[in-house]
Amino acid sequence: MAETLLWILPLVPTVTALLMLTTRNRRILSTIDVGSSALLVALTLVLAREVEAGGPRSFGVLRVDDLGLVFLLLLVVLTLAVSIYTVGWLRQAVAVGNMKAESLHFYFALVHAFIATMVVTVLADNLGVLWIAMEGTTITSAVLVGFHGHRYGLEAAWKYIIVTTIGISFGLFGTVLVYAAAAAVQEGAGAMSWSAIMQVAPALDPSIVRIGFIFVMIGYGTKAGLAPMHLWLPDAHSQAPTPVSALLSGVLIKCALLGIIRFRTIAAAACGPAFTDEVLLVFGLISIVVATPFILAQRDLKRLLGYHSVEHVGIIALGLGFGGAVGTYGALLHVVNHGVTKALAFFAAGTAIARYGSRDMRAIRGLLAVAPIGATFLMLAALSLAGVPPFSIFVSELLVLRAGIGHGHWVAIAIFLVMVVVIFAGLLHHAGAMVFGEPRGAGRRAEAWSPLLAMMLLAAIMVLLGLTIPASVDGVLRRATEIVVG
Amino acid sequence: MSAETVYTIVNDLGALLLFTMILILAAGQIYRAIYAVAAQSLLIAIAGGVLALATGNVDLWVIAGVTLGVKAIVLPWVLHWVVRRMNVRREVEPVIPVAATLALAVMVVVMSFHLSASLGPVRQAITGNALPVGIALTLLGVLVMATRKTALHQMVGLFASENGIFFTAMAVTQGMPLIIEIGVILDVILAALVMAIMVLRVRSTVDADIASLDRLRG
Repeated sequence: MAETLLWILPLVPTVTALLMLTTRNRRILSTIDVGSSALLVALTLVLAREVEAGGPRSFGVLRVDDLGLVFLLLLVVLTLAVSIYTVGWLRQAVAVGNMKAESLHFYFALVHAFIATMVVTVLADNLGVLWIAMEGTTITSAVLVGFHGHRYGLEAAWKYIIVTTIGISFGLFGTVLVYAAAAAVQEGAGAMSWSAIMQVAPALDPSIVRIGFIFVMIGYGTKAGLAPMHLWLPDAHSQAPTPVSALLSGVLIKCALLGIIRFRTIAAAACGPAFTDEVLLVFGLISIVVATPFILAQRDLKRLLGYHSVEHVGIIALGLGFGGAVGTYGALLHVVNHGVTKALAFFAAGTAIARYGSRDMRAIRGLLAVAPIGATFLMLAALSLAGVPPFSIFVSELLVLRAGIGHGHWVAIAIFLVMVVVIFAGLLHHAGAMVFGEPRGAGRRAEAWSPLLAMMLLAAIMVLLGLTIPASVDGVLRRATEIVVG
Repeated sequence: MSAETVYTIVNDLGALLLFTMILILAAGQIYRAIYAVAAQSLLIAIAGGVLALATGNVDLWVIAGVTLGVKAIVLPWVLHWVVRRMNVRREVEPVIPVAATLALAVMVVVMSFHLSASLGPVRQAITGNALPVGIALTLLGVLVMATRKTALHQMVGLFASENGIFFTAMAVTQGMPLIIEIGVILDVILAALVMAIMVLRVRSTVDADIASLDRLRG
């Protein structure tokens, strides 16, 4: 059963993508979109149950374990939220001419092709397949980033495809080196399978694996948006259509992190965790520090959220770098929390931008008066992103912090705390100015129901995970932590 | 073929690969860069053939054939087609002078050899100097992309970079599993097509080179 699900899961969005090409009716397209995403969620829940009962399963080059399951669950939940959001967003975008009615079927087909490549990324056991799927996400999403077709979108798409393709080439180079080290120890096709390499990881040549890991870190780190390889991220996240921004920021960069985590477990077994932890720590700190001034000085709402992703990916890398069970658990929880919160933030920002017709935060004023529900969600997302209790990000940041204190990384903690406080102030200043005050430039119109429904879903998860972590989620995270820590 | 002969041939091919990389780095006209990267892919296909003969690995023949067909013929043809469609006459100056680029390239090559020497013997029969050459090609491809502000030069740099990875994979591990290599090549073709479409789209809407757009900042 679980083995069958493994190949059905990537097949669902693939077939959906092809199905989208057969019609041009917006209602039918949206119905297929939501239906397919709901099916994906249902199948994933069945798979999660099977894995909980019977442990990791594999089918050919695909494999599911609890680590992959964390990312898969995030992916399908956000996909469903994005599908629901798209219904109302699209109606508005077509009405104002941001999206052309005759190219909608391409848009939906590309989104589902993008989702299919991400599903393969999280389910890949073979490191080569992981790379191919990762490059596949770049190709499909680059077209989506430039989908609006204006010069800014195309500029962002070009920067995105060039920077991440070159970055991911480094990832392939690292993969080749790790494969070379593994092929020297064990013969045959198993040399590229992550689970097979993990069996022999302590016997791998440490000097080759070390260089391989650095290449992988730069390669997949580019895709994850770690500074200083993040240059594409604010452009791509701000220029893409809002539902795509939510997928890029919420899921895609996390998929790249999963790639890093997979290689990190190999490298930690081959050359000791001290080396990999240090690399992750350095990249994490650089990301947090580099993002801060851009967050403070930002005027474009979606770019602001983009730079926030750089900061939060840095926090995840920091958690992984502090290491140990607490740090890793915190990092994995932060993957989920940030994914959900950031998608919510992009949804709320997207509706606000559509209402005011501008992405300049100085033009968005008094949102609470014209769109009270949307404004509330924007404020909730901002509070959560800033790390205010009782929202979920507060919990995972605290865990990361505790792991750092436990391992005595005082300098890193000091830098982390200072930056988080500065960002906290900056973000709340930005959000407060947009939500409160006298409205101008936008009238009070009814808020579309489907974006609100999508935001409600994500906000509920965000608050729930902040108050308590359900036993089933906790179980998956604990077992995933065991896989990483060993 | 004796192991020693293969070792010599792979080394010679490595030297030729570095030479084609210098041609790409120094190329003023985009046509020359395209021919140089096509020649580079041809050399890699030959390396694949030689290794296939030496090891009797059938997969390597397939990989060599696909490399020849796709990277030495189809991709250069796509680039050529884009150049003709774009109808560019004027040459764009590199960001830094060519002489400085070449000096940087020398440093990259020396560094790559140092790095590989520090690795100690990789436990494979046939490697030659493939690893340092592969690392050098990969990094020099990035150098091309960083120092050129035209879309086609950046694409050439990208392909050169991927060539370096393929060469390393072939020589160090006798190629990755066939299915993976095919998948990788498929990705490269798709990426090239998407990039070509974007380049033409920008050229037709705003009459500028996509790589020279720089409005998104901060």
